[in-house]
Amino acid sequence: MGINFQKVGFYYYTPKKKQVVEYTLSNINLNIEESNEFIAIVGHTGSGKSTLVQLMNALLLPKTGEITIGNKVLTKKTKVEMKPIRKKIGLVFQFPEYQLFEQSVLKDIMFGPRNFGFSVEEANEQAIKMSQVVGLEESLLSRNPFSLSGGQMRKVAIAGILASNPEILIFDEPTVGLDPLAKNELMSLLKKLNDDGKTIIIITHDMEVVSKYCKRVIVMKEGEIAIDTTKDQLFKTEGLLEKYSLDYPILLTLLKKIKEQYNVDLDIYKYNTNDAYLELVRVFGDSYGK
Amino acid sequence: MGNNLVLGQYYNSKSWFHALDPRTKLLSILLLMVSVFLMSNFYFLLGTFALIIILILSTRIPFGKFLRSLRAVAMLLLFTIIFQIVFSRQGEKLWEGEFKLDGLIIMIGIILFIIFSLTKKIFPKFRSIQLLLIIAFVFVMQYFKIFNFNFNFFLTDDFISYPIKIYNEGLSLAGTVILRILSLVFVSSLLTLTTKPSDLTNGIESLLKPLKKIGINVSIFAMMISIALRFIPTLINEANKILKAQASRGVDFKESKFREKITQIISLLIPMFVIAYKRAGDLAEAMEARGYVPNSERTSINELRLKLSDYTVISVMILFLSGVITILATGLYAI
Amino acid sequence: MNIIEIKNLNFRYTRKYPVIRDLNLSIKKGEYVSILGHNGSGKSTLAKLIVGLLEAESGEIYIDGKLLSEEFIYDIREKIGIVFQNPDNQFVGITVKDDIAFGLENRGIERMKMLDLIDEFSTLVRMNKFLEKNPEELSGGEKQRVAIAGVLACKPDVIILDEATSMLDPKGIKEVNEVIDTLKGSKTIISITHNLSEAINADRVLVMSEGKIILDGTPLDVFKEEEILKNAHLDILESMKLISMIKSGTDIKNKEGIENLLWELTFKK
Repeated sequence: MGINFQKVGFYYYTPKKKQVVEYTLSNINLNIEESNEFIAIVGHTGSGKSTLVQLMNALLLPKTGEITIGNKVLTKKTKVEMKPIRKKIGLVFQFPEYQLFEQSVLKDIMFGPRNFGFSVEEANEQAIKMSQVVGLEESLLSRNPFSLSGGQMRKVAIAGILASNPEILIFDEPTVGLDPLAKNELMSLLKKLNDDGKTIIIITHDMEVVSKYCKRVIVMKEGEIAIDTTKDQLFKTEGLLEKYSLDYPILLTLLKKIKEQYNVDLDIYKYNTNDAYLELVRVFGDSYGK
Repeated sequence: MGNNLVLGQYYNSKSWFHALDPRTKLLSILLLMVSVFLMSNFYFLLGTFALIIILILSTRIPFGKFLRSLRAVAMLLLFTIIFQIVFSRQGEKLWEGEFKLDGLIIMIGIILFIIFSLTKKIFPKFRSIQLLLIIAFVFVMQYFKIFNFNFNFFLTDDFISYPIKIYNEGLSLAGTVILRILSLVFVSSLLTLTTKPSDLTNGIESLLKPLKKIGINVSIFAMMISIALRFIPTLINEANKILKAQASRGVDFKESKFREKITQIISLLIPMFVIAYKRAGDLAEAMEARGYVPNSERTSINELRLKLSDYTVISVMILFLSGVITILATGLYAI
Repeated sequence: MNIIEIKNLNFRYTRKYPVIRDLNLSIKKGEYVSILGHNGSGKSTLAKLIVGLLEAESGEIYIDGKLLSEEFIYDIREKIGIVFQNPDNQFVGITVKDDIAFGLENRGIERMKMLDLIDEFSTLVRMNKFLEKNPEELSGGEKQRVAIAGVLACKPDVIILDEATSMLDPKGIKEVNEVIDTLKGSKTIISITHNLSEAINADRVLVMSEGKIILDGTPLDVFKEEEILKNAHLDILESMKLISMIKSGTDIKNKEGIENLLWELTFKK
């Protein structure tokens, strides 16, 4: 179930007579494969990122253009059944812990699957499986979700979306408000899901996350896609990060400074500490100074 | 955007009326409303209504906004008019007729109505107009006795028959009631369209200050209203977010099974309550940390000062009301 | 002169787990202190104890020499301002102007003076053109700046930031930190955060874990202690990880040169 956008535009407020339409999104052309992609959507607040992802799971319908999800085509006038789409494209909002409401953690995780047609037994099984995947202890399953810590509640919410077994997962700022360790834990989970074949799309501001985990980057600016490219291209192309006011990942900055200082042929495009260290060894190792 | 929905519809066309102190507006509108209630003469009410229209025009707010406020009372208005006209029996008889529907027509009407209900999907537009057309058609058939069979069988008997007599007092009473309702609705819209909610709150707080002396907690009450006003748009936005999150979990708000509806509502209400509860706690701490002590003496950044225009308007209103009361009391004129 | 002096502080929310355990701390006037700690380490609780929103089980807190007690709580609130994490849940006023005025109204400041103070401090946080805006029209960073203005307008000696940037986007974080930087030296700043790069900016870093202060020193001293930081469930700076790998390895010839460069890059002010 891939997602394809063709000349999609969207606005929230229907203009009254003589008023110009204010497009939140315009001219969006985009193709997302149903598996293995790890995409970061970045851009300033107000650039249309949240609207874009809500179009991906049919929470919103395009005002112009068309969106193809799997074999369903969505346009302004579509009256298609939305549930199957929302089952396959899981969307996790910011601070997802706010969507919890059931009396027990298990029941809450089962809520999504039950709505999507899973039987009680199937939903139960999925719920238990997913709670393990996100790292929730079994003893928490019978507890009231509101008695858990913030980080645990977030895991419950995510498990709730995973339990319906979506193919494509979209996360709006998954790490906001988490402390560094919880952040690492969550991103490792996303990486694992991606390794297992799911397409992961995250809206994020954190360039560290982008550099460490993502493969493809879509930069949004003022409602349009400014650039849609691979992570490597984004960081390697001269001046691109500055152009879109994006931060440089720390590792990149450090390696760049080392390269400048010592004037060596150092490959600065390393996205984790291990690779960076090995590159330093390569350049500053035995062969250095000879 | 959320501001438009509940915070009333402040429309800043910067007129002299907008610039009045909120207390003046509150008092004037109150005085006007009392006057309207006291009067019962059609022509005086008409005059007062004209006065109100002039006030409205002077605010330079598009008239459509006032008409929109009538929507809420449209049904009431219609019902009252019909009731008064049809059932009043005072004064001179102006017209007499008979309202009847024979069995055949009723049957045809029912069939048409069933067709109407079933074809919802085929003709989805202008439903109310379709319904009105059906009703009109039924009456037309009856009036012109379209089905005039020569033989008598029970369906051609009158199943409903009621003599309608329209009296002139009924008409004038209907007119009076219409004018009263219109005046009241327009006058309250006048208030909400020309006054910012925060100014309104400050005005009410100021007017109610004397109540402090008898132990009623005006300042806490005003603080509560102020905080509520502040958070209404926020709450609306949050409700939207939760609705979307639950929709992403498969909640389909178009499902009409009763059991599902309950879960849908709970999936919205519980998160809202949880957020509100946490918010209340955080807010209370923040207010306390900033030195708020309920019931203590506080100064106010908002200053309400009465100007010449305020004194003038209030005086005019007081005179007006006094005039009305005097005339009524002395029975000088059938006002 | 210590503006804040804490002796043998103990606190627990429920009867079971102590959240603050026998804590001792002194903060000098004008210091910029950053408090790091994992979620649940007690750092926010400490902040609330200092401003008197919570009452300690035992121990003493002295603010500018005065013992914090029910009697003096209002005087003490004059001296300390606190900005919380959630931009919406501390915004009281219907407009920016109303919100900055809130603290001043509570203190019975006369109206004309209020207008001056609002003007002064809204300009300081660069929100002076937004005075009539509703909070719904503002970004998180803008709301937090309004909160800071509201706190500063009451002229406290100490300002506490309780994870004030953790819910903001990078732009908002930058805006807030720029404002905080302008206060260095003139106010005592206590910044509670789990953002390591923010902590680097401070004069002094405290690390809390399970209700106690386990590290106390300059950013340089503290970030060296990898083991302790790891045990306290805190992440380590990327550069520190690299330095650590270089140090323990033997494959790099000019180890020291590179290490020093990395140190410099991390901690240069």
